[in-house]
Amino acid sequence: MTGTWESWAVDTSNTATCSSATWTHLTSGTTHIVSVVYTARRELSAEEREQMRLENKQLRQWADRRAEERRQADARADDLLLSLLTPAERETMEKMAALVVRGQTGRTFRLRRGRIANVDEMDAGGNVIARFCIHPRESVPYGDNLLAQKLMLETNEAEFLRIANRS
Amino acid sequence: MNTLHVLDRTGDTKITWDRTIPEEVGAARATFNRLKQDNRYLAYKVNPGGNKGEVITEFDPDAEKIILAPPMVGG
Repeated sequence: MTGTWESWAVDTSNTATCSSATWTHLTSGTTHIVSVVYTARRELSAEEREQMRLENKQLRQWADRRAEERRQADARADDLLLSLLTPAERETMEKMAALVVRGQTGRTFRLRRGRIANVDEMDAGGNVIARFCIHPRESVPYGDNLLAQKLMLETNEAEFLRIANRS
Repeated sequence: MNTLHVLDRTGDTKITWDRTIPEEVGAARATFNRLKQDNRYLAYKVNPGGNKGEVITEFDPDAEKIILAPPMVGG
């Protein structure tokens, strides 16, 4: 198959043809010979540069806004979580960045900050004997994640263990 | 003031009600029912200070604080 790539990137237009190149399909392994048209970056006009500057500025502002929203959401979730902990649980949370929860059946679980496989089941000696991955269906801040896990373990441990993936 | 906390990406959305004002109780109950029944949220009655939560299936206008958590899924 011989073909020509008309463009390499959206902000380029000058072209220079080179000799044929070999193109290999990653999936099939079939080898095709294609004629490649390389494009060279051209100078942007002042108007285009200004447009690009404005777009970059808008992107930075959007990213800053999202980061601030996430920071506020994390703070709000942490406040709610801390307000529902005993003084001892709060102390553990501050020292270990984790919650130790006694499940409905008396088993001990450590909930670490995080979203992926953050629940450890501990034996009496404090050793991890199982790890579980379970979280709210909606994306929520870490504090909310811990609160949802804690409440479920304390009130419906069997359902928690049924839903969670164990590793 | 009684509060319903809906866990979401903003941290939580709070809905407050005064149990002596039927309109406020009605609005909180409607939110509770929508999320509990339609979206299968898990509802807990909790008390500040660390007492264990209690699963509730119906809106309790006397509850000081209710947490509505999205359904849990395995990761």
